[in-house]
Amino acid sequence: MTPARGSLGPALGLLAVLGVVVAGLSLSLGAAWVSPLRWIGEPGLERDLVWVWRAPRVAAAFFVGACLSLAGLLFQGVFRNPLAEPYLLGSAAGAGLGAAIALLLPQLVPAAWSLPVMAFLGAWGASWLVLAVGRIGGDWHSGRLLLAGVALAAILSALRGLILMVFGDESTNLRAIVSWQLGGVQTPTPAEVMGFVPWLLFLGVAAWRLAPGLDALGLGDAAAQSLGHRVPRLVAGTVLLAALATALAVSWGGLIGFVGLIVPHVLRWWLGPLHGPLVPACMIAGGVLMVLVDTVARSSMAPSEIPAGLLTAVIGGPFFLALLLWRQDRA
Amino acid sequence: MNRIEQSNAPPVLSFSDVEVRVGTRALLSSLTLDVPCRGLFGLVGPNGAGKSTLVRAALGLQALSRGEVRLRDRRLQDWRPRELAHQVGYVPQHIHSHWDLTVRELLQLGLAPPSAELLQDFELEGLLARRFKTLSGGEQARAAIARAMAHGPALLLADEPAAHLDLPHQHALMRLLQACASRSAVVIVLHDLHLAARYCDHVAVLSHGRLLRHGSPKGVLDDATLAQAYERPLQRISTSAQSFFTVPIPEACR
Amino acid sequence: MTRREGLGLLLAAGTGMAVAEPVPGTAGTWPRTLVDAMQRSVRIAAPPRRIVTVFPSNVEILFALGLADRVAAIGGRVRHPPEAVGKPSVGGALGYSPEAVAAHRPDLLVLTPSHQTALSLVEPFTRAGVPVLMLAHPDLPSVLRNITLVGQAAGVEAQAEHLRRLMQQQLEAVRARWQGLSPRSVYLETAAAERGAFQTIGRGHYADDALAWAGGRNVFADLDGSQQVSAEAIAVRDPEVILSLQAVPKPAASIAARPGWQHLRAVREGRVVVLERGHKLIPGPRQIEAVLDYARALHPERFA
Repeated sequence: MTPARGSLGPALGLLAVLGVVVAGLSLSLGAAWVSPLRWIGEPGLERDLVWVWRAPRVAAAFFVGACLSLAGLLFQGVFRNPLAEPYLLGSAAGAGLGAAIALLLPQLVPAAWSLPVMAFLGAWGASWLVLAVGRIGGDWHSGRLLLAGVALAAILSALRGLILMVFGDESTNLRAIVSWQLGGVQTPTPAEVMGFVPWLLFLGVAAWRLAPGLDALGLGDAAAQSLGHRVPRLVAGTVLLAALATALAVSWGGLIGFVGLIVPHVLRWWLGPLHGPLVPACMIAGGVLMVLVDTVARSSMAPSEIPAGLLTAVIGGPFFLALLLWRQDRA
Repeated sequence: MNRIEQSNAPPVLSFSDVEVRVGTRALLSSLTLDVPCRGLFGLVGPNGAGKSTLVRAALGLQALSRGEVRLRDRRLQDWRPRELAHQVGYVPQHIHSHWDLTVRELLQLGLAPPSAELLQDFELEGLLARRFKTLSGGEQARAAIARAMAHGPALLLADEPAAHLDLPHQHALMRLLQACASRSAVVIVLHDLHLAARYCDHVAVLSHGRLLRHGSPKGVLDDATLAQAYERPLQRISTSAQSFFTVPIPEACR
Repeated sequence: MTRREGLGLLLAAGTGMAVAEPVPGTAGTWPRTLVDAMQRSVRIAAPPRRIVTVFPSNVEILFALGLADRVAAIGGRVRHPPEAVGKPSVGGALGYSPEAVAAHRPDLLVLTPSHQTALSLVEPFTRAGVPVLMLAHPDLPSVLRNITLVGQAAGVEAQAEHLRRLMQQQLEAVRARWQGLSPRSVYLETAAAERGAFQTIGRGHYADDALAWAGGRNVFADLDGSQQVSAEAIAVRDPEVILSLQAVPKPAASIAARPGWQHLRAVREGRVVVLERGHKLIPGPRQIEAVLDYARALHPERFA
């Protein structure tokens, strides 16, 4: 007997509660424990730790997680493949190349085009390239896009490796690059935190509007077309939106894997495969998960910081396997 | 068996001298055909005859090299995709859902919520909470057609809907499609000549991308036409109630 | 003939040639056995004439000891000293090719066992009978010991002793200048990625030692080697001075502009110094300059 679907309302409520708890933990934990009772009180190191150092980072972590999960959901929908993830079309490789240029060739990069901007441009630019290469006669088809994406990812990775080899040596920023590539949430200014909100709203609304088309795609291209969706445009639009979300996530969090793969997957088991409810659920769940990961990253081995991407890989992988086995038993 | 009379209403779908050429191959050539606005219209013919291509052309999924297709007397390219979608329902050959949908969710993908009457006609009330993948072939076909019919389209296109069903389910499905045909035009691609002969109001025989004959099943599905279409001798044996089709046993093997 | 046999033959021919004439300026008895930084005993038959070395630190030591004309080839990206830049290369970030090394018929290899593939050179050459001297530098005294080791290996003990004593004197001179002041707590940033991925060093890294000689107290001295730290850890430890090593130095204001950093003591009191990376992370003779640069940043009043 297959389990019943969860419904969206209670699910969002549960996620919101979880979010509040995790955020609370996140603000209390770190290089030093600050109990919630001390959050509001006399100014001093403890209050600063919570509001100046941690709160912006918690916001950025939520933003990164929400963007990654949304991108994963969109890629899985448009490629009809539950294994699709945000870096599928060369976004990771593009971001890595941008970051390498920013860190190893600072003389080439204007000061305003700092690391986050270069990473963003790299990720976003790679996706545009893929769309340009992946067209047949003005139309986009998933299969061809996938191939173009894989090929481009290989080329960009090779370029990045070349730059690392030619311009990296013992006295340059190799460690910083490696660490960035392993993923880690950067700290935004308060103004930048405010900027997250319109981005999340835009991404969420745009994805929600694409949801019926993505659902229809699950029945096949012809069936989707017969339901009134212009499939090539739908594919291109979804890819661009997902790529945008990925680029934003990468510019604030480096290369963090697994979140974009696992969150949509797990939520699909819980809430069903219709994309409408999944959009808000994925964004919130992904954000909460990333806040948790970031908390562990900066508090479990304080004062050292574990790259967040390392954590998601090391914990995410086995966790996902366990989940698969558990579902196997129940099915 | 009720045969729906040819009404004088204009055809819902008409092909005028349609040619579809891919490279050097002509998938359809000189195709001129009208589909009446009611009734079950069967497309039969050997593999590669162009039946599926015709269906895709009707949906606007296939670029035409020549000629035009009109839906309700308006050229296909003059319809906006959304409007076209409301006129047409489509059930693809391989009915599958990539994601693990329940029947209820599948029906939500239709252009209109399914009415209680629709659920009753298609006997889906008890299946709503079931996962689509766990349904039998017949149940899946019913659910897919229900999804396509939910918004009451003028034309239903089904590509070999009975292909993977067992015998009783094939007939049950054809009866269901007949019922749909009283409200809309239903065009189905069929391999099984028995089903075509028994249930269709109108049959078109295609071969090598050309329309050989079209008309009532009794008139069209005779030995000569079938032999020409399938390029081998076929025999039709008719009783008062139904017809059977067979490949005659060669003399040497009797 | 196998590749290894061919290599061996090539090298034997090379070392055979070396024994033919004595090398001027080399003291002591040959052959000699040393214990290198990895506790390996290294036997050197005769004063080496074709030394192949990898890494800028080892190159600088060799050149500082006046062994320029006895260095056959170098590896790694070397920019200093200028005379070294023209030497043939045996590889770099791509790895070091044993064949390229063997082509120079070395009679001594000077290596550092780090993450690079230098380790892949140790096995084949040891087997071929070429002495491999491994140098390690967890602190400044080991850097000085490396100079002595190389001097012994090449037979230039006098120059080595001279250089070592000079460096020791300079270190002590620096310490004397800030004598009386208490060490300033300092956060040394070896690399960073704008708003995160702050890299620093702890105990077991020679830079930690250099900071101590320069009159600083590394706030992350409890960590081991190179580590990444979170911004709030820096906030909790609130160093008096922030030193940032950058390949292309940006103005100190860019560090002060990092979100939240304006609350740090060092930023408020204007004690953020950006230094060029260059020689600071090369554990060779120029560490003295590094110590001086650190001291100038830590105690500007004493080091005008």
